[in-house]
Amino acid sequence: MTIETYYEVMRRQGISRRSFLKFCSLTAAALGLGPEFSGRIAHAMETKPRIPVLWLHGLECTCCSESFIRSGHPLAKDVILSMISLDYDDTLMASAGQQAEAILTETMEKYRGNYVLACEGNPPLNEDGMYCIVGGRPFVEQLREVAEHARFIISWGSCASYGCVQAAKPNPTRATPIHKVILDKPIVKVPGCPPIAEVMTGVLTYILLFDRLPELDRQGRPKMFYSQRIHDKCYRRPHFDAGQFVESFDDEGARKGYCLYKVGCKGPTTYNACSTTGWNDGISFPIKSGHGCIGCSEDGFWDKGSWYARLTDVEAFGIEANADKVGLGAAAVVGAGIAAHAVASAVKQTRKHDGDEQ
Amino acid sequence: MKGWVADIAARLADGFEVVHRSRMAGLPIVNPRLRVEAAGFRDWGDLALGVLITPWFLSFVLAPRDPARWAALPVGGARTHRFPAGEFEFLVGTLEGFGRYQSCSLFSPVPQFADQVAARGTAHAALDILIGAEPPSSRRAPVTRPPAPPRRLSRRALLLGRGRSKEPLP
Repeated sequence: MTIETYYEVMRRQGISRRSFLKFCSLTAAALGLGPEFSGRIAHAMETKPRIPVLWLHGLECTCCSESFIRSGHPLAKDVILSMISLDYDDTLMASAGQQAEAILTETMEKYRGNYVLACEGNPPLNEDGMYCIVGGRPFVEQLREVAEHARFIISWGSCASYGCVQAAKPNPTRATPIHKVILDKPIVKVPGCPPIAEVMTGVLTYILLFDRLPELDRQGRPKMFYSQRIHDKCYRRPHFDAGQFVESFDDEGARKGYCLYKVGCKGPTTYNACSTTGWNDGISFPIKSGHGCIGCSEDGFWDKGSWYARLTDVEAFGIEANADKVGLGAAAVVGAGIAAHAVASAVKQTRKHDGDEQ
Repeated sequence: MKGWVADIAARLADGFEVVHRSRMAGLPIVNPRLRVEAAGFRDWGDLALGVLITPWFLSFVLAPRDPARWAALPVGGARTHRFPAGEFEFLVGTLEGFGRYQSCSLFSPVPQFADQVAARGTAHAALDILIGAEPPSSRRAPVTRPPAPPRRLSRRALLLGRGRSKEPLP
């Protein structure tokens, strides 16, 4: 049996050549690549056999799936859902029960070493994993089995990446992020509760088309989406700079759209693309609708105090800062002791993506 | 520094010093080891370009020679500017007594700077990278190649398919 290419799958589903090319240019833009990459994406989709994606669910709330299937551009959603060949996803697939588990086993055998494991949620390890049972067995066993022969592993959302609410203190089930269970393979973390739909489809498309993981930061997050903080690109940032703050919700400052730092916004410590990509097809994001960022894409955000408490631990900003800024972040910079490479990387991160970094 | 650039730099520094002493006073995100300073300002076409250092941010700043030019820009809107180091997105801001300016954040808050000298050094280094006085990083440094030897082909060699002629042409 010959394996179809992405392009063949799309054409079979009634997507025109014109729409296909439009999808390629949209994808290039979403990935922060220059328009010249559109042709490379088209070529890859026409020639590469599609790779099955096994989408596992551990302890989670399905918000990652909900976000994913609502990718802003309808074309992108249709294309990606048909193209990623979701052979197993217990939320989206038609089959159930033993039939479903049989598909999982079959795909793992047929595409051994050549499928993508996308994990939503995490395994609880207490009581031998009994707090999360899938197909009659602890989820952690399924996760380890599927991971063993996976070509790439994606950790969807804050649950899989950091633990999220089920790992909040005192974490009674010992819910554990997947990189602490799968120790022998690189994992791309796509944190957020949920992650932005366009970020999810972007990461997946990149892996499928270029057959490698995108460039990651030291925490394992794709740099193209997680290299800047909400604060860096927030449209309310000029009010922060000018010292104009909302003092309490519904005050004059709130009506004028001032900065939400004093009512607990975690934008200055949160790395995500919300302030540039936006949500719901770019319509809005939490700060734009008047609420501070709760920092849902950061490690342990449930245990960092109230969402409405203002950030006070100034030194923590430096320590938590993006790994790439660590030269200026972790240690105080004194006098002439400026690391030129740290300044260079700060400037580079500030620059708009232009595709020449591939 | 040209007179109008010096004037913009001074008025920006004064304006943010007022903010520093009033609305930012006592906030924990303020780094007490720093003060407001307009660093490295120069003319960039009809705009003043420099780095604004304050105890709560360090950003590239652009301001127009003619303040009326940007008066209608919506605060919080993004504008892309091209520099030798690439394209950078600036946000439109406004300051009492100054008017509209645009800024592109490099650091905020700024606890990592132990003193003003460090912040100033960083500001100048960042500006040098932005305007191409230095390559953005060593990895992206332009590769200098020795000039290619002049490729001269005599008409006879070309027609006879012998490649390059042995004797250089006059």
